[in-house]
Formats: sequence, C-alpha cells, structure tokens
Amino acid sequence: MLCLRLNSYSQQPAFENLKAISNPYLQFNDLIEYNGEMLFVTNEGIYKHISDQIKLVIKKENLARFIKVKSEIFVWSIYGEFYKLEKRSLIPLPFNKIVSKRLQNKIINSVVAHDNTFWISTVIGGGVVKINQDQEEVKTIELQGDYPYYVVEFGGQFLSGNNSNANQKQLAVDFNNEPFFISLAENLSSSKTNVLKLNDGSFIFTRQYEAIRFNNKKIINRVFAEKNIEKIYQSKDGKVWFALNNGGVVCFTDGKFNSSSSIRYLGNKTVISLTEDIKGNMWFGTSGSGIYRLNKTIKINYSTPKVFSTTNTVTEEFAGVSILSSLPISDSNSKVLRTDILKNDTIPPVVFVNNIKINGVDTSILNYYELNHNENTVELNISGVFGGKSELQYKYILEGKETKWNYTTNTNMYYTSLIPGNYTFKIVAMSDGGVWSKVPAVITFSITPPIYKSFWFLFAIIFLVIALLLLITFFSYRKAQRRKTLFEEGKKKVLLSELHALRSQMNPHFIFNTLSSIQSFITKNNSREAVNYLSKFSKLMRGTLENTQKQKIPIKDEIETLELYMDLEKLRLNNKFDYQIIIDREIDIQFEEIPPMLIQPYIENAIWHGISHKEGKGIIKICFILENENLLKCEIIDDGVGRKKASEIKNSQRHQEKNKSFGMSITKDRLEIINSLKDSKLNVNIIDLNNNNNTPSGTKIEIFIPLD
Amino acid sequence: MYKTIIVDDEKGCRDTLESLLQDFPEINIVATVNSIELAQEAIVQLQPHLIFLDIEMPGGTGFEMLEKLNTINFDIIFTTAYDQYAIKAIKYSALDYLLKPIDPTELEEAILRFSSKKHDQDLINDKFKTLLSNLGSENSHQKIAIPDGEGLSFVKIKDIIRFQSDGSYTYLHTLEGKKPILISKPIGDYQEMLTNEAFVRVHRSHLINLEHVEKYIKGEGGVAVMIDKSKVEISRRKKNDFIEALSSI
Repeated sequence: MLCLRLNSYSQQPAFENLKAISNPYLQFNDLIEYNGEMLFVTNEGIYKHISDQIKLVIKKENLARFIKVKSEIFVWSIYGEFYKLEKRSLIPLPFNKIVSKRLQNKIINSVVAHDNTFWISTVIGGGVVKINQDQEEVKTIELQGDYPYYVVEFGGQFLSGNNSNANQKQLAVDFNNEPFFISLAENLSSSKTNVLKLNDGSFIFTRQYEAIRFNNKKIINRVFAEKNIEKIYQSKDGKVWFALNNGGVVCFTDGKFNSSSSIRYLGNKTVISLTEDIKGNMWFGTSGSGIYRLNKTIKINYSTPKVFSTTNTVTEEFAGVSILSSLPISDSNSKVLRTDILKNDTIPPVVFVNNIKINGVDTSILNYYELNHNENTVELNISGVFGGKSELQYKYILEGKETKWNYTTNTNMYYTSLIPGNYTFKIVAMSDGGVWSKVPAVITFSITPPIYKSFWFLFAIIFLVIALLLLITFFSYRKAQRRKTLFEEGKKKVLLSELHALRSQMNPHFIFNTLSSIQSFITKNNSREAVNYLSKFSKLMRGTLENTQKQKIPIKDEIETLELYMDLEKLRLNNKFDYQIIIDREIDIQFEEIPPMLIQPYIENAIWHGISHKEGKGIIKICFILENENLLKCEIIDDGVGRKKASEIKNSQRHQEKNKSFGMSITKDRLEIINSLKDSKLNVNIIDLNNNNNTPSGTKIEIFIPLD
Repeated sequence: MYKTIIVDDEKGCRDTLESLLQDFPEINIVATVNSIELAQEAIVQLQPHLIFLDIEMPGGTGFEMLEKLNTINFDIIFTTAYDQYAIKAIKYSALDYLLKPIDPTELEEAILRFSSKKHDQDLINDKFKTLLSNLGSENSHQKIAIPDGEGLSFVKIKDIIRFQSDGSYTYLHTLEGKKPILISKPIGDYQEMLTNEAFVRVHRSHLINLEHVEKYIKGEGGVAVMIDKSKVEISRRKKNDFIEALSSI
C-alpha cells in the first residue's frame, strides 16, 4: 500500500491539464477560489472544478472577470453588466442600466471595487464610471481620445492614467495627484493593459509585450516579453507571473522581475487568466486549451523560493488585479502633466556598430557591403553610450528579413543562412528614462544570388532549351521527310526488284532451254516424260506468278517452287546433280513465312557456277534451320568448283556467261531494300569450303531470314 | 465404268486429256465437245457420270451451262488454265478442278477422289447451288463447304469467327451454333483457301476473321477478343501483320 502511494505520488505531474471539455473555443477569462472551490469565468458561462472535472454551472455569454467584495463574488461582462453570484445563478445588479447608459456599450478594460463602490474603466474611449451598489453616488470621469484607460487602486494609492495627446509614447500616472510620466517603447494603442502592485510596494504596468516596474519616484526596470502580456500576477511566494498570448506563462522567480531568473511554462499556449489557490497551486486558464494547474507539491527548480509574508488576508489575494484597501479613493485628471521630473533620463543614448563578422571573419566596418551568396552569416556587435548608470535597452531590426523590432539588452546580433537579397540593419538604444537614440546605427548589405539563380543565367538556359527543342524538331522533321522519300523510293525499288526477281526466275535461258529439253522428249516419243516436265514447268511458272504478288509466302510454297526449279534444271543438265532439302523439325513450314524468291538465285548460282564446271555428279543441299525463335537460317551448300575457279572460268568465257550472276546481284539489292523498309536484318554470308588437303570443295551460302 | 464427257474449246486440251485418260479403264469417254451448247445436248442425251468442264469458253462459261441445266446428276471436274476467281469459288464449294496443262499425277488423284466417293445426289446439288451462289454474290456472302462428321456443311464466310487447330484437325467457331464444328482437315487448308478474305493466321493454332475481332488487348503479341468473347492469342511475330490487316479493313 505504501509502495502504491509513493508511486502515485511520484507520478503526479507538475502540470495537470484539467481540460474536461475539448472545446477549442472555450476561453477561461478568470479564475477564483471561493469556499474552497475553483470557479472559472468563460465565454460560455461559469464553470466549476469538481473532483478534477470542469462543469458548466451557469450558462451566460460575454462574462469577463470575477470581482470579490468582502465575502461576496460579483461577475462582470465585457459590456459592463454586473451580476452577483448566488449558489447557482447570477443576479443582475440594479445599477446595470445606469452603467450601460454611461458607458454606451463600450468594452470594459478593468474594474476595481472598494466596499460597495465599483470603478469601471473602458478599453477605448468612454472613461471611468464610479458607482456604488445602492446607486447613491454615480460619477463619470470623461476622457478624451480613443485610448485605453485604466483605474487601479492599491493600498492607499490610486493609480490611473491614459496617454497624453502631446506624447503618445508617454504614460501619465497619477499618484495622489502627483503626475508621473513613464516613457513607453511604442505608441499607446488600444491594447490590453495591466497594472499590479507588487508586495515590495512597486508597481508593474504592462501593455503589449512591454512591462515596466516603477515606484512613485522612478522606473526600476523594464522587461520585454516575447509575446503580448494578457495578465500579470504575483503569487504568495513572491514570484511574478506573466500570462502570454501564444507564449505560455513566464515566471520571474525571485520577484526582482529580471529576465535572467525567469522560467517558461506551457509552451506557446494562450494563457489569459491565472490565480493561486489556498494551497499554493497555480491555476492557468487558457483560450481553447482548458485549465492547467501547477502543483505546489512538486519542487520546481527555483533559485531561492521566497517565503511569502503578508499582512493581507487570503481573500484579498484573489481579487484579480485589484487589492482592496480601506483608504479612500481620489479622482484624477490626466490632463495635468509635468514632464520635468526625471531629468537624468532625458539625454538620448548613442548607439553604433562595434564589429562585424562575416562568415565568422572580422571585417572592417563599412556602411554598405556587397556579399556573395555564400557569405550569408553576419554577426554584429554594438555599443551604446549613455550618461546614466543603468543598462540600456535596444531595439533592432534587419529589414529585408524581419518586419518587427526586436527588443533586447544583448549587444550581439547574429544572423545566419541569409537568403540573397537586400538588407538594412538598424539599431536604436533606449535609456531607462525611455529616451530613444535620435539616430539609429545603420548597416546595409546585399547578398547577390548565385549565378544559377540570376536572371540572365536563367534566360540563357531557357534560350538554349528552346534552341535545342527547335533543332530536334527540325532534324526529326527532316529525318521523317527523308524517311518518307526513302520509303516511297524503297517501294518503287521493291517493285522493281521484284520484277527483276521475276525476270531472273523467268530467265530466258532457263525458259527456252527447258522447253527445248521437253521438246527432246517429244522427238524421242517419250510423251510421259514430256507431259511430266511440262506440268512441272507450268507449275513453276504459275507459282512464280502467284508468289511475286505477295510480300511473304509460307516456307512450304517456297520449297515447292525450289523443287520444281531444281527438277527442271536437273533435266537441262542431264542429271548432273542431286539435291537434298533438309528442314528443321521445329519449323512449321505452313505457318512460318518468308519473302518469296530469295533463295532461288543462290541455287541457280550454285548450279551454274559450282556444279556445271565440276567433273562428275554434284550435290546441292538446302537446309532450313531455326537459329532461334525469330531467325531462320537457310544454307545452300554445293560441292562444286568454288568461287575462285568459277570466276576464272567466267572471265575466260566472258561474253557467253555474262548474265549468269544477274539473279544474285538482284537478290542482294532486294535484301538491302527489304532490310531498309522493314528494319529487319536479312543477311547473307558466302563461305568457301575446302576439303582436307586445302583445295576448294564448294561453296556454302548462309541466308539469315528474320521471322516476323 | 463411268460415262464421261470432256468439254473444252481447245483441241489440244481435249486431245491431251483424252490420251491421259486412257490410263484409267474405269473412265469411259462417251463424248468430247467444244462448246456449251453441244455439251448441254450431250448431257441430256447421254446422262454422264462425270464431266471434265473447261470454264472459259467462247459462247459462255462452264458455269453458265450449269445454271441452264435443271438438275445436275453428275460430277464435274473443272479444268482451267488461269482463273483465280473461279478457282476460289470451286474450292469453297468443295468441287474438284485441274489446272492446265494437266499434271498426270493430279489427274490420277482427282479420278481417285471421284471414284471413291459416294455419289449422293443431294450433296452434289448442294455443292453446285453453293458454287453458283458464290459466283453471283459478294465475297462476304459466299459460302464455304465444311466437311463435318456427317457430310458437308455450307457456312457463310461472314459467319465464321475463327478456326482453331487441334493437331491435324481443325475446330470451326461460327456465329451460329454454340458448339464448334470439328473438321478433319488441317488449319493450313483454310488459311490457303481464305487468304484473300479478311482472315489472318495470327497464331500457329488460330486463323481468325478480322470482321469479328471486337477488341485487341496489347501484350507481347497481344490477345484478340472475338465477338463471341473468346480470346485468341496472337503470335508475337504475327502482331504487325495482324494490326496492319486489321487497320486496312
């Protein structure tokens, strides 16, 4: 059991998110502890914290803050309607009508209460309305200009103010009719202001991201928060808390309100309200992120937690910005201004740039630098000169990169990875008296883009690309045109070559010699042979006629034609040769097709140049071999005299045999034309064959025919 | 003994055929005539079993003569020197023909076919009817004789979806009839016969009618989806031929 308890204790987080309702529009405008319970004012109504659940108890829109008077709790809306909180309901105060008439629906900035008297101030214009619950006394302090006004009363002192028309950067503060001016970093504008009296007697005034701590004599110090300050609070242990818009919470741990001892909580949530309960837990109300509680039981590394000592009662601690006292409230008139109080701080400081490092290298100080694209890390060191003793505040901006001034006390500015462009660095110093340097220190530099990003380079590239495209288009057009003409020419050539092929097959030598061979059968009265050869001859003629009409014929048809042709040549040459046709078993000769009449001229050649000059009988082998799936090889092998001897014979009998190789040269042309037209790879090899003692023993022709 | 008449206008052809037919004792040449008028007369008078009929003759073609006859109760072997159109029609009708000059071997085969077949009168008439209608009609309305198990079916070419080979047999898929017709002939015969029609041998096993290609699915060779939703693989090497042929119809 003990173990479990320890466990649960140690696991208790420092922060608990009490967001019970996942509503991104729910804004926790104010928190208050009442009879040991936490109550929350939201834009939807009043919520209550019950056993770590947050429940809507009263529904009402536009509620802004709680205000505690004695033991009673009042709630006011942003339009100045006041309600008394009873158990489960809100009872409107009778003076609501008067207030609304006076304020004319102006938005309320802050409310303080004393006994049963309320001081109501507006955000823009309007003024301050003082009214007691019994409506006995109603007083309106009219104000000029549309500027925020606030009224706060602290333990005997009344603080009110607005800007003066004469200098919008000054805050006029009235301490018991003693006007006091506070210089502001920026013009007063219609943004939320806070005033808080700290337990050491000093005050904090905040507006936007600027916070100024002062007492009735002088400014003590000044802090710039990272984001706009929504609300400020001092807890019992002396810590000062800033609730920030989009910036979580900043806690100044030693109460000295110094940025070096601050802690950030809650990331970049928008915290709009904060308070402390009786146990010392901090409560934070956010816009859209629910409620957070920072548990006191968990030790957070504070440097020296201060023991809170107070003469005030607990109830006085929870009345928002107001701390009630028994002293009377005096009115003020902001028009009474005196500007000669804080003389020391009226001399403007001077600021200048001490040192510039570019890419980490010290550089002589110039007003203008032209940097390369890789010289993009710039470090500046500045100095401020000022008559007073206190620390200077600086604001600086790098125009070209930043649009907002940065506030700092640091004297080093560091920029890295600057993109090409023109930059102007400006820095101004401000004394504690709020006097800015008259002239900013200015350094201008430009970083040139790399060559590949420059305009002319891009232009050149585009130009080149266009030129290239035009060239490609031109050439491909020309190529297409050329191919077109080639194709047309090729077609003509094909027709021509087919005609030639036809003529070679119908070679007059062949026709008439064959016919005379048949005639010899008739004269010898061998009519059977005559009829036989005649029908072969007619079939060959018929086949040739039909095949020449086609681009491709089945291998079977080509073989039939070759057989007829060789039979007839055999007849003419008196059976001087035999032939064999060998077909690869893999080839479907009916299905596979080849261009017609490619092979016949080579056979003719083999017969008349190889075999005819040979002594004795020759043989011609024709083989159809499937080289691979797409390639047919046709081999024509003769055992004739060989090419060399054949050409010798041919030269000696030139005039007679001139036309013999006609068919072959035509076939070669045809192969080339078919190849160029069809992108195919018809190819012919001629191989001289030799026998063992190296004498020629014939010729082998290889014709490669793609099957597609 | 078959009573045979030879009809040819050229004396040389008549004589050659007569002398070649001497070798066939079952053929009894009862008349040799040189015109269709004389042929008609001879046919009526002599009631022949077989006629060798030349197609191209002065005074009318052999086909015209046949049209004039009321009944055809004889077989015909056409003889022609060169007439592709007529030969195609004859082939479609499963009738016989010889090319001139006549090859003795082919003659012998033709006589053998004639003497070994049943002389079914109805079948002969069907064949002639088909022949005559083929001769008188557009390509696509022509019919082709398909030898099925029982005899011959005459199928309109335009109704043929595709042929598919199965060894030395061929299956014929038509628009009518859900069952394919089994033909006892190799697919190559039909490829040869139909080669000038819209038929392409797209694969070793497939001869398809391009008119009935519904869709082509790309692929290595691709697949043709036919009108009956059957898918026909296209041989990679025939892809170009197929696409070329398809785009030309």
